[in-house]
Amino acid sequence: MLAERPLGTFTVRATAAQATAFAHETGNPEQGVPFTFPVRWLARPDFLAAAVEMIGDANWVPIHESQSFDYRAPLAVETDYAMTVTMQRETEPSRIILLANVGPAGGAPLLDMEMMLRIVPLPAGQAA
Amino acid sequence: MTPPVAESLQAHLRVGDKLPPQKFGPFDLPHLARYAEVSGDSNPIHLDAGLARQAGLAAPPVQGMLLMSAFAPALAVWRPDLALQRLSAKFLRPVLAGDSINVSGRVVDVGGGRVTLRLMAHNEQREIVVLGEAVLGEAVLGEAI
Repeated sequence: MLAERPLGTFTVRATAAQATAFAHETGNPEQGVPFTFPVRWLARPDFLAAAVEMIGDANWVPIHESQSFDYRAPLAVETDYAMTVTMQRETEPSRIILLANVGPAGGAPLLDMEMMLRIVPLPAGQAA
Repeated sequence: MTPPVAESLQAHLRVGDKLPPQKFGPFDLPHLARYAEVSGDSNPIHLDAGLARQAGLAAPPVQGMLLMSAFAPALAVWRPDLALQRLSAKFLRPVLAGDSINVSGRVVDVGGGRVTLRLMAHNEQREIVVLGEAVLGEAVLGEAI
């Protein structure tokens, strides 16, 4: 079963300090926005809340199953972009999928991302 | 005169060419904590040994995205003249805190000014932990990412 919910469009930006810190921890060149940095923009409490609502339970942990980035052009630091995100819910097996595209507001996307999370239930009362 | 991009790539790369193995890690708990900070990944399973045990793991698992992030510098060392355009990864097995990975790959397609590689990350037991695919091109994206 698949359910889908648009989460909206959000302004995102990589500051130079954020990009440099990310590059340092991942061994990437400290130049521009690191290739996988935009995953940071998917780590939002309201996205987690939407997942809890779609799953109907908070007693689980997400396990990252797969991830993709498809760029048409690199992103620049200290630049505002519009990120549009949709959340999908699969039940067999239990998954949450985030689909996002990032680009200049009103312009063509420069990046498509997909994040697939396997939902692993925890024993009752052990919410992460 | 500089040859067109597609000709240049096909002249210098062949299906079967290898991305030499490169080691990343070990990924210790302080590194996982720092990555959690810079990536915004607040999933407590990566930092909480008790929670990891509840999920059936002997130690906190390294963030999949930290492992995936090793592919870009490995590719940049291999071919600094090419720009990474697409990268995908499937996380097959957890890598536990304290372990290292070896990243390697093989060219599976060359054409149209692009080269596609199948990527792998192995753990210290030589098991494949991450399977990936990368597409690199020349100058299409401007500067290498």
